[in-house]
Amino acid sequence: MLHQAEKEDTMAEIEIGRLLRAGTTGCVIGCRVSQLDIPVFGGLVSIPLESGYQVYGLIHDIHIDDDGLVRQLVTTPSLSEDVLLDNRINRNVPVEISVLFCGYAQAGRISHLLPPRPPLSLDAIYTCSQEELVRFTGAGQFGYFRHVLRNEEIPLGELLAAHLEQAGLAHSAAGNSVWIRSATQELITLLRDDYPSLVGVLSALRDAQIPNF
Amino acid sequence: MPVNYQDIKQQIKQNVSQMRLQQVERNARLELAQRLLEQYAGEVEFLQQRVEVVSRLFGLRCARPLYEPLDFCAEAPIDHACPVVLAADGSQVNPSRHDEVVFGLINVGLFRMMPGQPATEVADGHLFSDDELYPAQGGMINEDLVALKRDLRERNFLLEKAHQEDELVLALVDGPLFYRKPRDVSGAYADAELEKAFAEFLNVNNKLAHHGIAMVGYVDKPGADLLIRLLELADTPPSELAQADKHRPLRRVSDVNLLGKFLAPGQRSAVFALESTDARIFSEQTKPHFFYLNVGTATKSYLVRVEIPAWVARDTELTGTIHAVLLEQCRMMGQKPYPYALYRAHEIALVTFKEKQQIGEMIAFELRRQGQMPEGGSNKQSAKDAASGGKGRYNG
Repeated sequence: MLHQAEKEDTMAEIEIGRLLRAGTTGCVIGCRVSQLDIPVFGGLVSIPLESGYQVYGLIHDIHIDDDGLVRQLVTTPSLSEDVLLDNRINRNVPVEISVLFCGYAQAGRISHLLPPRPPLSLDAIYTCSQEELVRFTGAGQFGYFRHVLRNEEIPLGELLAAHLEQAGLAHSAAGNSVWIRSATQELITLLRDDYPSLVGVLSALRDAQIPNF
Repeated sequence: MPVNYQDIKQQIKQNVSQMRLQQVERNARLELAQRLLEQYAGEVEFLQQRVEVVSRLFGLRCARPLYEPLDFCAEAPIDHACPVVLAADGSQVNPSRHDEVVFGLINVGLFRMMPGQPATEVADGHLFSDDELYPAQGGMINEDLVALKRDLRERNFLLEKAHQEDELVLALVDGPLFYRKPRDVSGAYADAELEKAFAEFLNVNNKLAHHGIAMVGYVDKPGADLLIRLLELADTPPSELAQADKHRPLRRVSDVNLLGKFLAPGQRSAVFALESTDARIFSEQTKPHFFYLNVGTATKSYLVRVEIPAWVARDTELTGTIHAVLLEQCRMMGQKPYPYALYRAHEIALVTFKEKQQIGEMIAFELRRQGQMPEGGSNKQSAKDAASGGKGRYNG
């Protein structure tokens, strides 16, 4: 079971959807369009599991599918507001959010290894609070970066820039202004043999709003 | 063996060649229909009498004019009421003895729209009980009765939801409003079941009319020749009226072919009563009436038939509201006009093949859980599934 502190923290977070499918390294969440203003690209999410641990992951893709009706409506000269809202609120076309697993917590201890088993269909997914973001990213030595760097199908530079921007602000607000510098240094070390990726990541980081970068 | 495309291709060529010749003939008949329409356009009283006389001689299915001339066309009113639109559609799983478990299901979807309010949707599923599936006298429920029960549930669902509304309600369904009772149902008990369901169907139609709920049946791409039959009757010499059912100079010309010549986009035709043996079964308030409506655009006409009950047909203001609301609904869909609310009701109601399989599996699971074994699918079905399964590829 989850520890009381973890439970309370989870309660303060916002449910953004439920799990559609998952594997060892990641999962896809389905959510309604009306829930879409909460999850953001690069955001850290958590999935509390009944077996007493919770899985952490980074949002690396937000995918909005079309269907026959949407394809037809998109060419309508003056789309009625009622139709627009109906499609966004009622229709069963979920927004798909792809999450890359980057660690888990068990009995209050955070690990940057992949979770022992993936979550199950319809498990609820929550955004992480600022405190939880600081706790997860501040634990260990940035071990979770390797899950991001290993994946060749994600926009690496953009994802890291978005994540570091969010995490950097959270650490800064918590009084830790050196975290962002350490994180960047770690990335440079990890990518020292992959110059094209390193240039891409640094270029993206320059565009991010990261204090003291 | 696959389809013999070479052979089929040859037949396609022959058929298309014949169709070209038939088209020339049909054009000539269409011109005749136009001339007859012009000739009899204002002869409403004469036409009413002619239908009255002929309907006593044999079973007739045609249009009967009310008060508007045959070539009447009207634009939608600019100022009209803004009713609540409730659209209902039903979907069914017909029981099959070839499936692993025999079950029947009706799923009705209802979609509600009202300008300025969020649209809402609701579905109502009904799994047939064993008694419904297998009538006491033997045999299994047939597809006609399932279809009637589906339509009945649609109407009942509409009635129930419309009761919760304070505003005027347009209750929209896809297809003809008036169910044609099947006549070829075998088995005395099946007939009795059908009679019972049909009596309920008539009853719920009366209730809808009694509560002022305007039922509207939207018939897309209609192929009927109701107005054409009326013109053929008008053209029959009085001495040959007894054989008027064989007088078909306008054969294969449809109402849409004829009205498409002069109904401009957005316009409706005159309102007609539907004269038929089936229509006489309905009460005075609910007797079927209809008009044609061009829901197309300036570049592409598209005529549909709109069916309404008698009490609505007599109310020109309400008919105008239905005309305007249907146009608004169709325009919401852009290039392929069709009422948006009906599309959504269909989407809600639809039971997909995958869902059917899922329900079958759920029933089989529950049977096993309660210590009973599912009957199992037929070998014929297994063979069909195997044949349509496609070929596998060895991937090493």
